[in-house]
Amino acid sequence: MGESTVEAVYRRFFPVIREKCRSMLRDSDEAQDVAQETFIRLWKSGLDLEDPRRVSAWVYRTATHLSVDRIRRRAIGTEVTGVDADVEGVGTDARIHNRQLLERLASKIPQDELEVAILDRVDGLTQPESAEVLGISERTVRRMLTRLDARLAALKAEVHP
Amino acid sequence: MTLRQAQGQAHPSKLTLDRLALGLADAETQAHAKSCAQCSAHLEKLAVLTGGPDFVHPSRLQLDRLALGSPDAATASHAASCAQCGAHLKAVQVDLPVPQWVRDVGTSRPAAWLRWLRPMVAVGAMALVAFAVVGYRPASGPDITAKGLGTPQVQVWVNHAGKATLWSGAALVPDDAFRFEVRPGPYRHLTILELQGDRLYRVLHSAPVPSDGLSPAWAVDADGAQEDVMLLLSNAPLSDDELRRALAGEGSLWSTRWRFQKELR
Ligand SMILES: [Zn+2]
Ligand SMILES: [Zn+2]
Repeated sequence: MGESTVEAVYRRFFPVIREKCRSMLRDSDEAQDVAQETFIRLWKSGLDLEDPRRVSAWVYRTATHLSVDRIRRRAIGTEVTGVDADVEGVGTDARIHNRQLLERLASKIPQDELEVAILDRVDGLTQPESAEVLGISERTVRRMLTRLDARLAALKAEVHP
Repeated sequence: MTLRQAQGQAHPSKLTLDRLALGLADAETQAHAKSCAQCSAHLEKLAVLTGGPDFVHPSRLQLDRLALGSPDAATASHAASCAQCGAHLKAVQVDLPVPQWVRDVGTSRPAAWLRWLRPMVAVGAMALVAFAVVGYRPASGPDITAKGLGTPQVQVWVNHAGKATLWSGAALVPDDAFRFEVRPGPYRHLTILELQGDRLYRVLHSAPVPSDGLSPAWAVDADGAQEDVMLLLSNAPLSDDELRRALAGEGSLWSTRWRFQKELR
């Protein structure tokens, strides 16, 4: 710790950034791309890199935001073909399932809700953690998740009347 | 036999519980154990044996923080005895060779590589800022067009270097954040769009108007010459068709459009 050359910062933080991006984006080139962009922003951010709590919250926020941006851009114009289950549950399988479902529905869900959904349902963060990462209140996190579930239920009804 | 077939009568096997305690993800067993005294007692005993105070995995944020040097004895001891969490910790602590692009970032001047960055509005960047609502003034400033029926009013707060003021119409600089304060009149639902070249780029926000009228906040990036944002008020979430018509300037929705010029330092 304490070393602040770009190489040292890369060695210390890039693996965390990369794993976070891989969990959100199934295409590995895309994940690498977003990880690079997140790292460059971190390097440029002027953040105190000796504060792991703040850096990790910043990394989660930025990487989630950039990934959601990619997912949404890809999803625009594609048809929603199936809403087969709720975005809930824990465990690796549930998380992969959730990611795939959110990916398919990305064009139908606003940016801010998608970001909360990724943190809560794909990364498995607690609600206080999601609130900390996004800089919003826990109540807002809960409200957005409720809204997300209502939206998903409506989409489900639309696809399987 | 699975728990589902057993309809809650049968307990999961000892092996299943042991696997859960060792970190194998298993939502069904976990749910059962939470409401079953016998199984949770067994899990607690195991957790004591394996050194962890809890059989639930820490979140990946907790693991990442541990990996980045935040002291956390409980998470460390859990990860030491949990294959899944141990594997994650290992993955985020690998020693990567430093590729050329990293060295390029370190040596190039900021202004040169800022241009690589794609458009970005960071949600929540200033949600913690307290906003004093001062005497209400109708929205004004350059490049705002409102259309539609009713009497809603919108104003924009800008946070520059930690200080929030009503937008004066001045250009924003990167890292400034803005948010809308809406008096929705008869409308109940707020939709905020980001436009690029007069076309929908993305839906930034779609939700009932909150009681304080404040939208989320977005931070300005260093890319492009302006942020182009459209705000729509309606009584219900908008369908794709309603969105399309509003963007084409048709329909009877109430909308305002805001163009924030950017000044790159
Ligand atoms: Zn039991
Ligand atoms: Zn674990």
